[in-house]
Amino acid sequence: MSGATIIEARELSRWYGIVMGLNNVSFVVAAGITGLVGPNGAGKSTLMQIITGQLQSSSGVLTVLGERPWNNPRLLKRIGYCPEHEAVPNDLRPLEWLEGLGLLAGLPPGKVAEQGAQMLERVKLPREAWARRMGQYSKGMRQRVKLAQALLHRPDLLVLDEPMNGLDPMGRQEMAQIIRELAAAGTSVLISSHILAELEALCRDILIVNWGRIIASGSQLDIRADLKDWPEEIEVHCDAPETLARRLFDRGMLLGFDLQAESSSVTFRVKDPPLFYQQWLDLLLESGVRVYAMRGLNRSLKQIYEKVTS
Amino acid sequence: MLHEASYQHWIGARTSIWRRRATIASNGLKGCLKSRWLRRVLVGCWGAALVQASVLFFIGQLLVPDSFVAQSQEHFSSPMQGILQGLVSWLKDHPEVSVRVTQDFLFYQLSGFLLLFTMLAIGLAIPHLITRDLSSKAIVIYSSKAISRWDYILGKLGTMLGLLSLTWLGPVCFAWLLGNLLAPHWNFFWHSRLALIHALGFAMCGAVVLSAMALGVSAISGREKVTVTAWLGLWLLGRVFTSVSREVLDSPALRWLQHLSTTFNLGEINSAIFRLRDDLKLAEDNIPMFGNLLRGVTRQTMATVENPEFWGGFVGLAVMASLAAIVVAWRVKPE
Repeated sequence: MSGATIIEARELSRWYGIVMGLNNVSFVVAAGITGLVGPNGAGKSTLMQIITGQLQSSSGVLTVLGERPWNNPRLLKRIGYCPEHEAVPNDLRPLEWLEGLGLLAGLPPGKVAEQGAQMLERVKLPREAWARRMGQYSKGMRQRVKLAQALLHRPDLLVLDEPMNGLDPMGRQEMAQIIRELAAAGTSVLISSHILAELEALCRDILIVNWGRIIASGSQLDIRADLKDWPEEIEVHCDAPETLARRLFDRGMLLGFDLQAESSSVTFRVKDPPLFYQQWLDLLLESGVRVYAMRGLNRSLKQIYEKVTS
Repeated sequence: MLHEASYQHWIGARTSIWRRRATIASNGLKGCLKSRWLRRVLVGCWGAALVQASVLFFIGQLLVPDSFVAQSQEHFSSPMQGILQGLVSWLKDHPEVSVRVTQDFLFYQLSGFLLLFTMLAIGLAIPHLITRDLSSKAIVIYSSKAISRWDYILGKLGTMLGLLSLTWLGPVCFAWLLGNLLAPHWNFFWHSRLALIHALGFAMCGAVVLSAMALGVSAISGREKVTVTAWLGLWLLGRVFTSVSREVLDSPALRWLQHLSTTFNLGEINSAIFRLRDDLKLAEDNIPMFGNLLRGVTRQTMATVENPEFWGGFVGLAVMASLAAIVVAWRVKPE
């Protein structure tokens, strides 16, 4: 992790009766975009609700931007929250709703209409839809309005619970671009999503939650490096896979390998990935083997997530 | 890649918490007034106030010899003429008593009438209070803004008080002001001050209790049909309990059943605030004709006017408002 600390939790727990929503978790979220992943019921929404002051923790301490969020309207002025479930009133037009919410967020009355319109444009809600009541909107349009309300008061921290739900691929790309722009402008973003490929492309840091515990945190590379009992697998397409495999094996860099003669490829299980990458180019030049393609087989967020939650 | 970086965090002035509460209240009221039926009920309330002002004008015009009203007395039947002449002489001889008693009685009736209209208006407004916020889950977004749940509830209470001002407080003030503006003498304002104080006192008691109850019922469910039915059901069931305990059971041991009715309890408070017994005593002492008239009134009506069950009504309403507050506190929470 790097950058200023935005969220810090120490021994944080939340119970729902006898059910543990969050179980004694401690973590730090730095400025930038941080992804929150975990299976259903893992505690993601509970954590987001505690961060946004919707829920009180049962024990432990959580600070957001240096303050405790529960019952703290002053801090809530600096946080934008986009909840997972439907939260858009059917009988209102988007601008009407945003104007009211802007006033609730403490914006001056003379500014709310302008701010609301700016945010609807920012989330790319088509202008012709502005005059319609939100009950007539598609799920994707509602998601955009929900995001607009979270951005309305220009918060320092944006908490987005499954914002990609209901969006088509183009909509997801647009949403990702908006989030990147916000981060570039200095807004910190905590985002949960089940679409791990998109989260991977978006986030530098990840928090993985399971059974109410934070089971991994940090950058994807750091988390992968910490999984020492899970050898990294690298698939290499080349003109002499067997030669390459023997050289690496002789140097004691591999735990094992699988040759796929028909596809002229070999999959290595690497003992020490940093050392491997350090020596890889020299070794390749020495061997004279021609490499056509190379890819890590268990480095993606999806694979890391499946590994740590299994 | 170059990013668009025009987005800036908000650094301008912020509005106060009272402004934010007022936003919840006014937006809620606007939402309520979108209902066509509610607007019709409002017309009914203000129409009743206009009728009241007209009656006060009519009474005042009896004192003006060359007025149309005074001159048209001769077209009435003889008994009616007798009553009107008695009223005129009473108004002339004892204006401070007669104006007070007459307007107290009229505003007592108007208050009872406006209470029924208000109950209906609340039934129509119930979905716009908390129900729709619960069903759309927008309540989560509201509580993520710079307000606490108490601010939200206070705002919604403001919505109710605003609505009740339109259905009840406003019409009462309007009727009193217009009726006395059209009176033949300025001292009508002074002599009728108690009627206004009584009517406003009752309206404010009613506003507080009904607002709390309306919020409670509105928070019961996120389904509009459920909350509207619950409100109408509570109202009508209460009336049934009152009727059953009075007409069918007629047993002193079961009279507490009457206090399950909101309107019965408010009626008792109304009678206790207006203290019509004092007015009737005054009238009886001043005009013999009135004494004869009172002897014709049924025993039960007189008993209600003379001995309103203030404490029973008060406790009944306090219990209802407390239950409503518990429901609101339980349902209106971010989690």
